[in-house]
Amino acid sequence: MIKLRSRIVFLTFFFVITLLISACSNNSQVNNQTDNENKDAKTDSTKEQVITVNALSEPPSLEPALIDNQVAGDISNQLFEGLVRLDKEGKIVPGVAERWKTSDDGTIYTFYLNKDAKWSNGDPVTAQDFVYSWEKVLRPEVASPLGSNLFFIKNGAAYNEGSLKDPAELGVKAVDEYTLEVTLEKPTSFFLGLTAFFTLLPINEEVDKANSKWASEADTFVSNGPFTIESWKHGQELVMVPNENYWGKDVVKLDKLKWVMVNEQNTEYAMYQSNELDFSTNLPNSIRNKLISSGEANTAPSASLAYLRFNHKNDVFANEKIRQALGLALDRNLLVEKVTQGGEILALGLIPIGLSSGAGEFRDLAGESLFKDNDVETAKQKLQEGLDELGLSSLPKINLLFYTDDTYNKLSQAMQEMWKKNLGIEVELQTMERKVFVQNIQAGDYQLAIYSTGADYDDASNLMGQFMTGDVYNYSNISIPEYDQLMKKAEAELNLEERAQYLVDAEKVLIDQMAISPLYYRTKVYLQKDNIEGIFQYTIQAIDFREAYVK
Amino acid sequence: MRQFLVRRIISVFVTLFVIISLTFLLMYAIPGDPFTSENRIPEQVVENLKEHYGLNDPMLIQYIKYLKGALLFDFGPSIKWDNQTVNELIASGFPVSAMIGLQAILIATFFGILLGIFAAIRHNSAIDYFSMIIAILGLSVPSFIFATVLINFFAIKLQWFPVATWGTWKHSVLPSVALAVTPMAYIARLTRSSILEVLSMDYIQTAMAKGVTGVRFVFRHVLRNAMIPVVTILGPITATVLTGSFVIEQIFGVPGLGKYFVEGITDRDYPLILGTTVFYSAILVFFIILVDIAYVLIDPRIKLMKGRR
Repeated sequence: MIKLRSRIVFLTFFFVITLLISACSNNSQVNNQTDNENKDAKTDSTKEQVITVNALSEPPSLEPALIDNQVAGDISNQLFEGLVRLDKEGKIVPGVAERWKTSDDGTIYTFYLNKDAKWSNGDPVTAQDFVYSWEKVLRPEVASPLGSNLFFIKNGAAYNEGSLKDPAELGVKAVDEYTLEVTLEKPTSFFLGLTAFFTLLPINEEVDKANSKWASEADTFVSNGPFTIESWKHGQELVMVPNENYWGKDVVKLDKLKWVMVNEQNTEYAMYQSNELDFSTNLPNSIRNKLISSGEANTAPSASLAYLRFNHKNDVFANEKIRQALGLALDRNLLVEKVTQGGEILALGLIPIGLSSGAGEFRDLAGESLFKDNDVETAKQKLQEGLDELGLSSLPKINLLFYTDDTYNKLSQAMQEMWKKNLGIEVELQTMERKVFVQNIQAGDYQLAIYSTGADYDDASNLMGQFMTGDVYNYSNISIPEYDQLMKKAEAELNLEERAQYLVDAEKVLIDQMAISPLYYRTKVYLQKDNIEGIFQYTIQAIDFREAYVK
Repeated sequence: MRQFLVRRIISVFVTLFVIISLTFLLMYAIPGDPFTSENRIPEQVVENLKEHYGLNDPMLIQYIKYLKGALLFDFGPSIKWDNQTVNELIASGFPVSAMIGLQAILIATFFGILLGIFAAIRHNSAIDYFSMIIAILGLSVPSFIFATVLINFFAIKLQWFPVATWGTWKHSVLPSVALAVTPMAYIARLTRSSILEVLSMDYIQTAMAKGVTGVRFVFRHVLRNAMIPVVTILGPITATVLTGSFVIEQIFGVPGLGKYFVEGITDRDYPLILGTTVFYSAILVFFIILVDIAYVLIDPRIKLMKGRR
C-alpha cells in the first residue's frame, strides 16, 4: 500500500516533468503543423464575413444620451444612424434624413426623413423620435455627460440648466411624421456634421418609455443603424449582426462584427498576430515606430494636440518672451522621432491636421508651421530679453507638472534636458495621478504642465474657445484682447471663408505670443489584416464598419 | 465551538464596520471626484451628474446611505458603468475570477506542497536546489512577465491555447497557471522550511530511529505537523486569488472582478469602491475563520477557546 502511494506520487511528478520537456523539444514540429492548420482554417473563414475588433473595455452605456467615451461611441456608431452620415472621404451624405434645407440666415434646418428608415423592431424612424431623443439628452435629470453638443439648438443650454422647463420651447420640432425642423441659437456651420455624432443619434421613443433599461441587454436593444446586437456578454464580448430593417442593408456585407474587450496593448498585439483580431488600434508603445516604418501599421489623424500649458498668472510665465524662449528651445522633431515614438507628428500650430475650418481643412489655410522648430538662437535671445524685462539675472527653478503616463515620463525628461542644454534652465519634474493632476490644473495650482486637447466635432473653433479671456476652461488664465476680438468676429461671421480667415488669424496671434506651446499632434496608429477592406476612419467620427468586408 | 463561532461572527461585524468607515474616509480624502476630467464638461452638466448620484448631499447623509448599502449588501448603481449596478458587476465578475482563482489555488497548493516536500526530504540534494530555484523564480519574476511568456509560448508559438478573452475551459488555463506561480512558490518555500523544522524535532528523530520511513511517515507524522504555517497563509492567499488579479485579468482579457478594485479607485466610482472593498473583506474574514477551524482538524492540540487552554 505504501509503495503504491509513493509510486503514484513519483509517477505524477515524473509525468509533469516529461510533459514540460516534451513540450520544449517538439516545439518546431508542432509549430509547423498548427501553422498549416491555421492557414486552412483561414481560407475557410474568408468565406464567412466576420470581422473581430477590440473594444478595449465594456462600454459603460450604449444609450446615446449617456455615452461619454470613444469606445461606446465607436460601438454605437455601428448600431445607430443619425440624420446624416459620413462617406468614405468623410463627406456628409444622407443618413436617416434623405435631404435637408437651411434657412437663409443659417439658423433653421429642415430635415426630410427617409420613409424606409426603420428600427430593428420594425417601427418607422420618425421625426418625433429625434425630438424625444434630443429632449432626453438635454433633460437635466438625465445628466448627459456630452449634452453640451446640443447647446447649439435654441434654448438647449437653458433647458439643460433647468431655467427653462417647457420642452416645447426647445428648437426642435416634428412638423409631421417625417419632417424635422431644428432651430439653432445662431448660425452654426458645423451643425449638419454634428448630427452624425453619437450624442445626437436617435433612440426609439416607445421602446425607451416602456423599458428604461432597454439599452443594457442584447434582447431588448433596439437600434436603427446598419447593425444590431446579437449577443452581449458584459465585460467580455459583443456580437453584432446586420440589421434586417436597415434602409441601406444592401451595402452591409458583413455577417458578423465581433467586439472583444481586451485592455492590454501587448495582448492585443498577440491576438492580432495569432489572427484572433482583424483590426487593432491600440499597439504597444515599444513597437509602434517599428511597425510604422516597416509599413505594417498605418496612421490616421486624430484631431488631438499635446501641448505645454503655461500658467499666465505665474509671474514668470506672464512674460511673453519667457514663454517664447521655452517654446522655441524644444526640438519637437527629436521628441516625436526618438522619444514618444508613437507615430505623432510635430506640432507648430494649435489646430491638429484633419480638422475643418468650416471652409476647407484648417491647416491647409493656416500653413503647417507658425514658428521654427528648435530655434535655439532666438530662444536664447528671447530668454535674455525676458529676464531683463523681469529684472532677473536668471530664471528661478521651474516646476513641470504632468500625470503619470509612460509617454509623458519620457517626454518630460527629454524636454528637461533640452531646456537645460539650450537655455541653462533648471526644470523640476512632478508627476501625479490623473484626476489629482486635473484638479490641480483646474484650480490653477501649477506653473507649467503637459496637457492635451481633442476636438468633439469637426470644426477648429471647438479647440479655440478655451483660450479666450474668462472662458471656464481657460485654466491657463490667458487673456489676449486681440485673440478674443478675432474669435468674437469669427463667431458672428456668416460667410464661411471670412470666418475661417478670422480663425486662422486668431491662431496666429495665440501661437505668436506662445500663449501655449504646441508639442505634437496625436495620430491613430492601426493594424489591419490584408484581407479586410472598407473600414472607414475619420478624424472625429472615429470609425465606420458599415461597408467593411472580408476579401 | 459554538461559542467560538458566535464570538467570531461578532468580531467580523466590528471588523467590517471599521473597514467600511475607513474606506469611506479614505475614499473622500482622495482629491478629485467621479466627474473630474480633462474633457471640457460644462459646469451645469457636472452639477446635474452630482445631483443624480447624490454627491451633493451632506457628508453625514452620504455616510448613512453608504452604511445602509453595505449592511443590505446593495451598493446601488455604479457611476462609471451606468448600465449595471455594483451588485451586478460583482455577480458577473466574481464567478469568473473565482474559477480562475480556484484552479490557481489547486495548482499552487498541489505543486507547492509537492515541491516543498521533495526539497525538504532530499535536503541539500539536486532535487532540493531544483525545487528552490523554481520557487525563487516564481517569487521574483512578476506575474505579468510570466503571463507574457506563457502567451508567447503556448498561445502564439504552439497555439495550444487562445491568447486572451474568455469562453471555453481553454481560455482559463493560461491565466490560472500565471496566477498560480507566485502562491505556489510561496507555499513551496514555506512547506520546505516548515518540514525541515519538524524533521529536527525529537519525536521525528525518535520515529526515524525506530525505522519509520516512507510516504505514510511523511504524510502522517511530518506533513501534518508542518502544515500549520501553510494553512495559515492559505486563508488570505485564497481570498486574494479568488477575488481576481487586476494584472492577470487585464493581460488575458478576462472579464473578472480584479479590474474593478483598481479602476473603481482611478474612476472615483464610490459605490464600486465600497462594493469591492466590502466583498473582499467579507471573503477574507470568512477564510480566516475557515483557517481557524482547519487548525483544529489538523492539530487536535489546538483549542479554539484561548481562555481554556
